[in-house]
Amino acid sequence: MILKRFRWFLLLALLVPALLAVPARADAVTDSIGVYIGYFGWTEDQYVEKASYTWQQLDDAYGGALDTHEAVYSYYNGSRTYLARGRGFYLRDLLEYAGVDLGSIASIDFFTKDQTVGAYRSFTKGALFDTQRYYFPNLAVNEDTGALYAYDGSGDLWSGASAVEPMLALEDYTEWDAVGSEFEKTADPSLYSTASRFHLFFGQSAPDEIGTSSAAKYVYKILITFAGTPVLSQTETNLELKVGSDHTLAVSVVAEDDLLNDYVKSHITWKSSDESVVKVDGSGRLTVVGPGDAVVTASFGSSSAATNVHVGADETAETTAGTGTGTGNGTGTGAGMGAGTGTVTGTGTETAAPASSSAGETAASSSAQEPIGKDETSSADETKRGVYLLAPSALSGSAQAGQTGGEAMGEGSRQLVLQTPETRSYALPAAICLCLAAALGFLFGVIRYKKQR
Amino acid sequence: MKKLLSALLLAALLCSLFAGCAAKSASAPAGETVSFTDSCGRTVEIPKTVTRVAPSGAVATMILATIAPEYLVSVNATPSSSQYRYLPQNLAGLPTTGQMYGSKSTLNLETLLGCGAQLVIDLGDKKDNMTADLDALQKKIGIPVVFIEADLTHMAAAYRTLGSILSGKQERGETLAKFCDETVDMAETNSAKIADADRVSVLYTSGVSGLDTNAKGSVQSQVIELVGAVNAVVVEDVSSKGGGNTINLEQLYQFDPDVILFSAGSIYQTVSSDEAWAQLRAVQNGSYCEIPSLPYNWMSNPPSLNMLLGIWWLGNLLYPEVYSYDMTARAQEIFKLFWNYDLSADEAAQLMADSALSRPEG
Repeated sequence: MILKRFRWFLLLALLVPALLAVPARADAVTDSIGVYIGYFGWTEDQYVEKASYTWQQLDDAYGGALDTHEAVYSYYNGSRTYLARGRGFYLRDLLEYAGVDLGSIASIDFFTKDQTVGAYRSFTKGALFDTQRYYFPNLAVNEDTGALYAYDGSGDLWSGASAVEPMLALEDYTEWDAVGSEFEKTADPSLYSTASRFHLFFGQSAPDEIGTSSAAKYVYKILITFAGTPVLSQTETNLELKVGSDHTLAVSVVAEDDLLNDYVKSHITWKSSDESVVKVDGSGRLTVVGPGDAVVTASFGSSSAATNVHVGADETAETTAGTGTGTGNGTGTGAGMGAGTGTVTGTGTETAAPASSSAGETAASSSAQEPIGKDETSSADETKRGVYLLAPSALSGSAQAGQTGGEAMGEGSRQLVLQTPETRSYALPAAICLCLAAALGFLFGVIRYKKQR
Repeated sequence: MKKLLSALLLAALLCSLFAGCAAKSASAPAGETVSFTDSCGRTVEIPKTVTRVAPSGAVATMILATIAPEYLVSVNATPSSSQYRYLPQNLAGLPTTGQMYGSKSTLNLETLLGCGAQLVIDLGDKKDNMTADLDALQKKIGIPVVFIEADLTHMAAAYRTLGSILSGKQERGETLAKFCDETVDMAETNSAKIADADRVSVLYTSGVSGLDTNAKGSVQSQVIELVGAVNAVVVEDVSSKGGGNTINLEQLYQFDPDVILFSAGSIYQTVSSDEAWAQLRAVQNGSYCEIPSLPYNWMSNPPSLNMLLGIWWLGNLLYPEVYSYDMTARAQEIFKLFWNYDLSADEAAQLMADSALSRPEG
C-alpha cells in the first residue's frame, strides 16, 4: 500500500538520474597512443605514463618523429587466411623513442578502444621481439578442410617467406581468404584507410601459427611490464635513538625508470614492528616512544627495506621525565569543493613531549573549524572530513610547550587532497540527489498513508 | 506540510535532473535557434548560425569538406597519405570520430562530445530506422543531429540545404548544387542519345577475387545506368554495401559483360594471365580497366560526390563520341571546384593511367 502510494516518485527518482548519467563510451577510433610502464603484479592504474603521442607526432609523412614502413603481414586462424598491408612505424622504434629499455621488458599488453575491460592482447617480450616473425606469401587454405597448403604447388609453406617487424600501422587494408602472393599484386596505396589506427601487425613465427585475432585494431595504450621488481634500500640499517628524538628515515629506490622511482617513492608504506618503541608516519618520520628494539620497514608491493632501531633504557629515563597536556592552536588553509581558511585548535596529553614538538603529532584531540565554517570536535589524525580527503602526512605544526609538558600552542596546516575532475563526475551529485529524492518520496508517502488511515 | 514536501520532492528531482545534465551542458547549443526539418521528416532545433559541424560518417565528411572544410571540427577518419594531397589540409589535424553507419558502427561519442560541434550532420542515402537512430544519438550527446539525403539524385538539393544552414555558405552551396545539376542533366541528355542496341553492359567489380560486384539497383552502381550503360550483374538480393554481391565464375560467364571496371586493389593487373578470366569476352577484347581511385573511387565507395567525377569519366570512356570532351581538363576543373586542388595534367594522367580501354566500346 505504501509502495503503491509513492511508486511514481520512486520511479522518477530512480530513473531520471540513471538515464541522464549514462556516460558516453569510447568505441573505436583513436588519434593518440600512450606508453605506460610498470612491474609484474601491478594493477593497470598503477602503471606510470611514460609518453603519449598523437599520430601526427609519430608519422614521418606528416612531419612526425618515426620512420614509417610499408609491409605485408600474413595470418592464419585455423581455417582461413588473413592478409594485411600497412604503413606504420615499428613497435620497437616507438618504445625506443619513448625511452623504454627494451632489454628490461618482460611483457607487453595492448589495449584497444573496442575492448572496454582489460588488454585486448598480451605478449611476452620473447614472443614479440625475440622470436623472428615472418610474412608467408605462399599460404592457401583448403576450403573444405581448413588445412594449409602451398599455393605455388611446391609443398613448401615457407616458400618466399620474409622477415617482418611488429608494426603499429597508421593506415592499412586487409583481406580475408587471400593468398599473399596474389594480394601483393593488387597492392595499391589508394586502398589505405586510417580508420583502424593504430593497428597492430606482427606476422607469424611459423606458417601454421594461429593468431589472426591478435592483429589488434584501435590500439590506444601499451602497457610495458618490466622484469623483476623495484629495489628498496634504507640508507641507515641500524639506528640508536633516544626517546623523544626526531629522525626521518630515507629510502632509496632503484627501478627501471626515473618515473617508476618517483612513483614507488611516493607510494611507500611504513611500518614499525613495535609502536611502543618507535612510531613511523607516512613519510618515514620516526617518533621514539620508549626503550626497546623495533624494526621499521619501508615497503612497496613485494619490495621492502628494513632499519633496526634500538632505544636504550637509560636514555629513555632521561628524556621521558616530562609529561603534560598540551593545547594546540593552529590555522589551516584548504580548498576543495569550495575554498576557505580554517583554524585548528587542539588539546591533548603529551607523553614525554620535547621542548619543541609537533602539535599534529601529539595533540590527542582537537576542535577544528573547517573551511566550510563548521565547528566540530575531532581527532587530530583523522584523515577524512566531509568531502575532503586529508593527506595523512599533511597535518603538521609546531607547538610551544612548557619544559615539563604543560600547554602547547601549535600551528597546524591542512593540505587538502582534492577530488580530481576525473573522480568528481556528475555521478556523485546525481547519486546524492537520487537518495534525497527517494527519501523525500518515501517520507511523503508514509505521511499520506498515515493521514488516510 | 504536504505542499512543502511536494515542493521539496520536486526540487530534489530537478536537482537530480540537472546533475545528470551537468556534464553535457557545455556542449549544448547556445544562442538563437531555428527549426529545421531534415530528410527523415524530423524537426530539430538547430543553431541559427552554424560554423562548427561534425560529420557522422564518411559520406558526410566528404561532402562537408567540399562546401565548408573550415567548419569541420572532426572527421570520420583521417585522410590516408594518398588522399591527403588532394583534400583540404586542415582535415588531417581534426579529431576522428569513426562513423555511425557501415559494416560496424564505430562512432566515438567521447570524441564527438569533445570536439565542440554545434551540429552533427549525417549525409548519404536513407536507411531503415534512421529516425530512431538519429533521435537516440541526439538524446545521448545533447547536440542536434540532422540527416540530409545525399545520394546521387539528391546531391544538388543536399548542397542547397547545407548552404542554407551553414553560415555564409549559401553561394558556395549553390555553386556546387549547380554543378551537380549540370552533371546529371548532361548525363541524362547524352544517355538519351544512345540507342538501346548500343548500350554497353558493364561489370563493376572489386576484391582480390574480382568477384565482388555492384549489381543493378545498388547505390554503388548508379553511375552505370545514368551514363546510358547497362549493369551486367542482375541478382535478386541486391546489396548496397561496400563489398556488394559476390558472384561465382559461372555467373560471371553468364553475365558476359562488354566492359569490366575493376576497383583499385582488384585483379586488373593480373586478369589477362588468369586462366579463370582469360576466356571472358571482355578480357579477350581488352575491354577492361581500373577505376581511378583518388581521392576516392570515382564510381562510388563510398557513394558520394565522387560519383559526379565518375559520371564524366565513365561516359567519356564508354561513349567518347557522345560524351565528347577532354577528360583531363574536366578532372582538373572538378578537383579545383570540389577540393580547391590544382591538378596538373601529369597528375591527371597518372590518376587515369590504367583507366582506358584498349578497345573502347560504344
